[in-house]
Amino acid sequence: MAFYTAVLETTLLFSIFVLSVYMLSGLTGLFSLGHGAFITIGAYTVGLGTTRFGLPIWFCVILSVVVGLFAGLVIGLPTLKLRRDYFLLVTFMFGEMVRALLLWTAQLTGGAMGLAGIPYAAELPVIGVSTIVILVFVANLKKTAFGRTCIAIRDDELAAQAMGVNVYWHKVKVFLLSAAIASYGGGLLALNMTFIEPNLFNWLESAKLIVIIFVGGINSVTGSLFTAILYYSFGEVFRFAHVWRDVILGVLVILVIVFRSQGLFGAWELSLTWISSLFRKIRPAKSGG
Amino acid sequence: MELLRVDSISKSFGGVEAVKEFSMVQADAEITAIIGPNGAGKTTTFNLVSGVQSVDRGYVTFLGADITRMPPHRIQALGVSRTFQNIRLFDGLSVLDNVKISDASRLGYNMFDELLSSPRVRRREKEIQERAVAQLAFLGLDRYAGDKPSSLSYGLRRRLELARALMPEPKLLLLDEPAAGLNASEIRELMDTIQQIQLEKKISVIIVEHHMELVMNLCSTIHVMDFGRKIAAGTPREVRADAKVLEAYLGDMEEVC
Repeated sequence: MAFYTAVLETTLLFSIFVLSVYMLSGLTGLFSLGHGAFITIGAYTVGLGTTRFGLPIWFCVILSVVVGLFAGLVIGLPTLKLRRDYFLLVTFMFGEMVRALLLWTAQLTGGAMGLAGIPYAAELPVIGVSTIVILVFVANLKKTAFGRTCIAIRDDELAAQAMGVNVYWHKVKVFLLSAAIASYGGGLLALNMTFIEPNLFNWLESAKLIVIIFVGGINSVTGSLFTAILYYSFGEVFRFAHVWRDVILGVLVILVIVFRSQGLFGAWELSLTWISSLFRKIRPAKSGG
Repeated sequence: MELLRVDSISKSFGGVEAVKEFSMVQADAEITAIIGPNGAGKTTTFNLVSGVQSVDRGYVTFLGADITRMPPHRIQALGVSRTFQNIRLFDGLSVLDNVKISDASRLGYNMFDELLSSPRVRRREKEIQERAVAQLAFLGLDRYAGDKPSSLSYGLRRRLELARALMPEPKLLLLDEPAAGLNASEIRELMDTIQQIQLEKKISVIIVEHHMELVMNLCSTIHVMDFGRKIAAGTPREVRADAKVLEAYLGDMEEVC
């Protein structure tokens, strides 16, 4: 039972990361290969705050969001004016920079040896509630004017500008939101794993988050979440097939891109109306039988 | 009343001068046209006025305010709206949401209001919804509100672009080849629509167009461009008789007459 709880915790934490990247890559079409840096920043803020400075845990979690936001501003303000491909390169370097910085400041961070002894404070209820709150947040955001604007920017930046959208400023807002959620998730990750190291979340892991969103469908939060849960729980549950996880994902990516470029779920979303319509369909059948 | 003043604007790409010292004045609620052979600089002129491309030299003023270096979203917020020659709709959004988007500059609330779904947001969303539906109805697109733009026919997509451009209730509308690819009956409908836009909605319209029947019938003033320069301007009758215009259109004489 404890094993499955741990799997669920990890899966949900990674779902938070996928949701944070969903806003950026799925909705707005910005690709960041350095998103893991925000997760790492959040994790180390909490890790250092609790172990080295003896700060209260709740304060460290808030601090991780603040530090993540600040890093997002520093990276986002100058780079979001650039073309998307340059943005991708800069975020990639940002990720590597954070990693190098953590290795270099070994006296404080423990360097390659990692940072141990972080209190185990993020258990299933905390992680579960956080995931649900963030899920509701992202799913709602997609339906609002804010989300509409994101999709417009993704589809045609020039047309969006001509329709009155301040493209640069909107990108900054999305990037900051995404960074804040990623850092918060990173903070929880540290409080869940109790041991962190600079390679916690490298650019390959960041890239996987984007791949998962494309497999699930960029227009479907449900699809991204479903794929995330499948991918991250698979490796844990089927340990013997662990190495096959990325092979299966790879094959799936090729299949999806060739045969279903809109992603597994297309634009379909799980909603309360859909569930209730499903029940309505079942009920008459039951009463009839 | 003077709405738009374009004061000898120029723009070059590399060594090519796409627009050379082009000037024009547009008044309230009038329909004018910019015509000229392909590559004459008509679309570039639109891009310069709407801020999509930056002006090298010269000035653009709108309602007395200098908009020469303004970013496109602010120019749109002042009341300049446009369509594109090669239809640029948002394929990831529904037909209705495509129309709603162009109200972005006047939203009047931010993301946090939205998340809390405050009464102000709900009122505003309801109002946007109603106006977007009205805009679709005006162009006969209300049946397709929930569809994706990619599922519409070419003519309907052109109309959707027009609906989107009308949504922010602009004072000036720039139409870049609105008749391109439309059949004869669609063009007649378009002409009626443009006339309605001018007469009922009191919106001033500038049209870049190759379809001469439309231009000659709708526009009070026609500006003719060739190789980036304005070579003539005047009423349809004057332009038709202008020797320089005839020369520029040599070979397309029937089109002009």
